Amino acid sequence: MKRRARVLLVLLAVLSAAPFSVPTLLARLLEGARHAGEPLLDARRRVHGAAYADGIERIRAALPENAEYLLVEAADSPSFIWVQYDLAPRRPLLVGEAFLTPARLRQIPRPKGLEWIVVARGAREAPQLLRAAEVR
Amino acid sequence: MSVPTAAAALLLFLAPGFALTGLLPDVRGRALPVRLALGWLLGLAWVAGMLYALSHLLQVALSGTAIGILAALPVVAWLATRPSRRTVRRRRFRPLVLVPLAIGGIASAALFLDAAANPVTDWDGRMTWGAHARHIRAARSVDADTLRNGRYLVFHPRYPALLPVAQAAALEVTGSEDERLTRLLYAAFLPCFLTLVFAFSAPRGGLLVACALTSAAALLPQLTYDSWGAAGLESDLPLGCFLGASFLLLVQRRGVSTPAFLLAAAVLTKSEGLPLAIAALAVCLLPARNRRRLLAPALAIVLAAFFLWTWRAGITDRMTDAYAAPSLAALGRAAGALRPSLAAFLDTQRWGLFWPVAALILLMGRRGLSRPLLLFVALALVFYAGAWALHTTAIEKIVERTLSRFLLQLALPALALLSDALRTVDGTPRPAGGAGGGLGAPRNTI
Repeated sequence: MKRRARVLLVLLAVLSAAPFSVPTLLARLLEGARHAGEPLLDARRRVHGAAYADGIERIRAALPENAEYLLVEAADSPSFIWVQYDLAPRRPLLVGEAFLTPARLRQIPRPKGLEWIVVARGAREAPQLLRAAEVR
Repeated sequence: MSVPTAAAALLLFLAPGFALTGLLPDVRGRALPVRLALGWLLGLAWVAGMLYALSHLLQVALSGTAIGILAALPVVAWLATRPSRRTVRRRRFRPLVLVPLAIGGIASAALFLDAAANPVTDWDGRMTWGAHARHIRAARSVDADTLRNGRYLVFHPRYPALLPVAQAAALEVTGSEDERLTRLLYAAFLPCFLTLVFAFSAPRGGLLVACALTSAAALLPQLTYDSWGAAGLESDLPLGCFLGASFLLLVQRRGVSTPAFLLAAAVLTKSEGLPLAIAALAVCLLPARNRRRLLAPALAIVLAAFFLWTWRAGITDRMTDAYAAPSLAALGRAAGALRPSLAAFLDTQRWGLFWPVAALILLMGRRGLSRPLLLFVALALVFYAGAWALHTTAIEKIVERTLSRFLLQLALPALALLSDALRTVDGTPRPAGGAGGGLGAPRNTI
């Protein structure tokens, strides 16, 4: 009886998560195999959307790696988190708060020597690069 | 990303780690899969840990040359000394092992293919761990001005940087900018973890139990494809591996050099690493006979903590978690964690029905549970509850965001407890050496 209980528990343990994970695991296996060897930019376009991925590429090409910029969030969601990672090691400036809206940008004093402003516009939208002098 | 690039990134840590398993006396004679799993942990601890220390203390640049020399040192030492080969006792092949091997193999293959195909998409990986790695790599220093200077928007700049340093090293050595390479490093913790589950469960619960628990673990969504597990750039699974392996090795009384390495790595992996490493050591120190033996792991924790403190001292803290001062009200807050905790345990999207089944197993096999393991898990839970109580975020939210990750940090000792319980369900006596009370477990088992 006790041995049966043990075998039952062992089986339960193995199967406890299987119905939830097996379909996803197999799907990832097939999807991963399908996209293996894909160039990074193509993968980024597929996952993040072409507008966002190409927008990031344009900003990367325009700003040197040690450039400083002010990061503004124009969407309701914090898409600037995505943008700061994709633009790193370019350096976003911190001016009081991380979630800097366009309205707030007009209120705060700009950091000295600020040349660039990057506007995050949502998860799949192209971020925009602006010259600080042109933004009022 | 080409296959040779991916292989080079993984071998950067695996090769020196494997060499270390040939040099360290407490792991030298173990079976090949266990040496590979521990080798992955030791290699990462050695290469990234030394780079972290040399960069901060001696301003050594994180260049390809420095990384290459560090990775080559253990390999050269191992090849030069080739300590007398201890014969590994060949065991009869048991077909049952094919079950966890197949399930774990499929789960690992799915994860590696996913990591090789898709860029980083997890929130914390992009916000914190991956961004830190890019700033460190660009500065070729763990003291990157972007991290230290409060002028820049960086999230959690004081988080321990062992894993970001490992990411930076892998990218630097391969000359790659491909973020998918960094995902592979985290994916490698899955087969490492599964191997350790098997290795620690087999001597405690027997072959059937080890096969069952390894298979069960390989099918946990949280572990295998959730971004909080091995699929993202989160440091919880690496911490769980460093911490769990060192604690269980200490409990088994199989030497102290490997646990010392791994405990230091745990401290440098995540902020929770230090209190949890202290808890692990404290539990092992309880029997008076262990005290002198544990000097090396204790020293490793102290040195890693001191190093972390000096590194953090130069960083302007910003954009990070806020904690309130301890108070009586905090106790009430901690009590409020019960309901969201229950919800996290029952979250089928992350865990399936694993925890209800685990609770049943623990209940039925409660007589066989190891007291040191129980004590460690209890201490860790008290620590987590304390952190939640003092955190300024609403208790439901902070529990929901962290508990599933904390469970990964405790996964190895938790699964070892399940092995004990399953062993005793049918009345099989506890392992010799008193897994229930002492710190012993059968020797020469993994």
